This record gives sequence, C-alpha cells and structure tokens, in this order.
Amino acid sequence: MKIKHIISGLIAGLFILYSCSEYPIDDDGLLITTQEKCYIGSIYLYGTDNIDCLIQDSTLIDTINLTVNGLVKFGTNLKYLKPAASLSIDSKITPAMGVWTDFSLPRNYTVISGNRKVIKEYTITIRVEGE
Amino acid sequence: MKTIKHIVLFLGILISGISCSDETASSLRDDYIMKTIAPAMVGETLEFAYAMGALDGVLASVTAEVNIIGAPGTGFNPNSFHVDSRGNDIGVLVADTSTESNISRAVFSIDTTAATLRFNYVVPEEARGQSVYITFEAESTLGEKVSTTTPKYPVSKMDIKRGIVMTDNDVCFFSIETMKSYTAAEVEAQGLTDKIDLMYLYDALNSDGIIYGHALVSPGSDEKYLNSRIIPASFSLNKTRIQKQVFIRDMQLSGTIPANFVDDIDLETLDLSNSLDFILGISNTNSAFIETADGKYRAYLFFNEAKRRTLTFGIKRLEMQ
Repeated sequence: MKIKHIISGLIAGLFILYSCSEYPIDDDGLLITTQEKCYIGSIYLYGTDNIDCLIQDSTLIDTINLTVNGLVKFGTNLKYLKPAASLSIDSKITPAMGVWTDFSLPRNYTVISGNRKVIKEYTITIRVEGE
Repeated sequence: MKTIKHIVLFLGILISGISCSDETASSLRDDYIMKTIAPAMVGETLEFAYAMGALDGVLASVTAEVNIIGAPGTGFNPNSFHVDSRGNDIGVLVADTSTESNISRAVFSIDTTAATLRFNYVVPEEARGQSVYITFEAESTLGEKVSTTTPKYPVSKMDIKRGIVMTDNDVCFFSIETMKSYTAAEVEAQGLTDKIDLMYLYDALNSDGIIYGHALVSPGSDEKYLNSRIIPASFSLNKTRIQKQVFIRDMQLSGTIPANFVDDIDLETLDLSNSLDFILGISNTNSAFIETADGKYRAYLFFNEAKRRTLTFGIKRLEMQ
C-alpha cells in the first residue's frame, strides 16, 4: 500500500516538473508558450474619468501594416490618456500600457508573441474628433 | 509568622474586592454611537445617539457638553428612539430639552429606566479646521451619574453649498470664490468680471455636427469649445483647470448611496496640472474637480441634474493656503 503511494507521488512530482519545464518564465514573470500569434486585437483609451473615449467604430487596427488609427471624442485631452489593449493569446506588449500617456504624437508599441519569437512593432496614431 | 502572612493576604484580597465593587457600584450605564459618517463641515449636522439605562431608580436628566459652542439647531431631540421590525426609527417623547452656551440638557418628563436620545451638533464657523468633542453625562433620580467623552472629530476647512442652478445663455456664469451663479449683467453690476471661473452652455451638437451636450467652459478656453458663445469684453479670460469624473459621487452632495465622500485631503493633494479648461457631455451624477487659474481655490462639483438647458449642482470648496 505504502509503495503504491510513493509511486503515485513520484509520478505526480515528475508530471509537475515536466509541466513547468514545458513553459518557462520570461524576465517579466510571464509564461513562454508555444503560441506564435502576434497582434493587437482591440484598443481602449481611458480619460481621467475612467471612461473609454475612443470611438470604436472609427478606429482601425491594421494587422498587416501594423498600425492603429484611432479617433477620440471631441474635447478629449490627447496628452493624458491611459491605454489598454487586448492581444493575441499569451502575447505581451512593451512599453507597458495602463499608464498615463501622451498621444498627441504617434506612439510605438511592440507586441511579442507567446513563444517570444515573433515581434511586431505597431504605431498608434490618435486624432480628436472634429480636429 | 505564617498566620500574619495569611491575614495580610486575606486583607489584600478583601481590599481589591472592595475596589472592584466600587467601580461597578453605579447602577447607570451609558454608551453612544456617532450616526453621521460624513466629514464634519461647517453648517452640517453631526448626529449622535446616546443611550443610557438605570438598574436602580429612573433616569432624571442628561447633558451634552461640547468644546466649541454649536450653531443654532444644536441640542437633544426630545424623543427616545427605537427601531421597529421594518428598520424604521420610532420616536417616543420622553424629555424637555434646552441648550445654553456649550451645554445641552434633556430632563426626562416620564419615568423611564432606559432611553436613547439623539443629539445634534450643528458645526459652527468657529470650528472650521478645529476638532470638536462631546462629553455626555446621564443622571438618575438616585443622584448617580455616568459620563462618556467622544474622541476628537476634525472639522473640515471646506465650504459646502448645494442646489446651485445655471441656465444656458442666462444665469450661465459661475464664480468659485462666491460659489454663486450669475447673469452677465449681474457680473458687471457686482464688479465680478475678474472672478468668473466657468460658463455653462448647452448644445446638442456643435457647429460641425459633433455631440457637445452640457458643458462647463472657462472664459479663457479655446473658441471652438465656447461653441459660438461670446464672453463679454470686460470679463477676465480665466483658464480654470477642470477634470470630469464619472465614478466619484460625494454622498453629501448627491444624497444617495454609496457613502463616498470628498474630504479635505482629496482637494489638498489634487493634481490638475494635466487637465483641460473645459468639460463637455456632462450627465446626471457626473462630477468634476476644479482649480481656479490663480490656484487660490480647489473644488469638487457634483452634478445632480443636467437637463433642459439647465445644470443643477453642489460644490465643496477648499481655500488653499
């Protein structure tokens, strides 16, 4: 009976070790996976009122030319926006989003795939409605 | 020797026993809760519930002594309250009340061994920026007394004003210094042309057909945000920093839950250096932080209602040192 438990424990331990070695961790503490996809799926720009001011219908994400052309509502302060984006599975983006950012000039963001082998640099350009 | 030791030990126990019984000799018990959870502000009321009960005799009177004399309205409510099964406060008249100087009194008009009286302290101007505390004392018909003192409650340095109404193209100018809205003629007549910080206007769309809505715009804002309105030539073109908020709803101004409050520290630490000088698309329950062009005042506005070319709001304002 005891031998059975020991064997089961060893198998479980080996399995866990194998699982960990399958997905190593990168410098940011994120799992490196087998995913090759690398793109920005959607983007959001939050003002100081924590409301997305991007007009989604008028925002175009071009995954071939690697551009994002966004339009924000009339009266938006372009110099003080907090971006957020959804990415392809297991990808990451640099510089990190979620911080106050000046979008009065185009900004470059680099998307890195889950396997960390595909790297794409997007240019995000934002205009204000009516300007 | 052993016998003497035992006698000393026995006496020690006896004395400590007497001491303990002395502390609990009074048959009166009391306690209080502060019902108000909002910051203490000048002109606002702090409400307390003071409960007392007597094991012997009945309740005779109760006093509340405050360290800073309260504004008119300070005093005990003559009713004792209990809560019914539906959670409603039920008041029963039990006392005659009076307030003189810094002491409020309630003398029980019925025989009762227990009661919970409400005490209202209306914060006076003298308390601005100070701390207030209250000492409650109850007395029974046997002459027994019991008292309790509250902690010190800091009083805000802010001013508060509710129900300010502005209308498009009419009473559309607002001064943070006076916390009042004016027509252009009133501004001129009262010599306030350099004290206007914001103008209210409403247009569903701007001249380019873009959604505009209810707006507060500085006199010195870019022309395109003034939406064809003309600022009188005599007015100072102040650029008031203003930042719209959607999820910050101060309960003292909104009158509704959740119980969030803007306090002194929020305005003291406010950084509007990245803000614009206008906000557009104001809706009911939106709010805004503002700072005058000269940095003398910071304020929080809560918009109770924005409809039919009218904006109704309340303000909490802090004068910066």
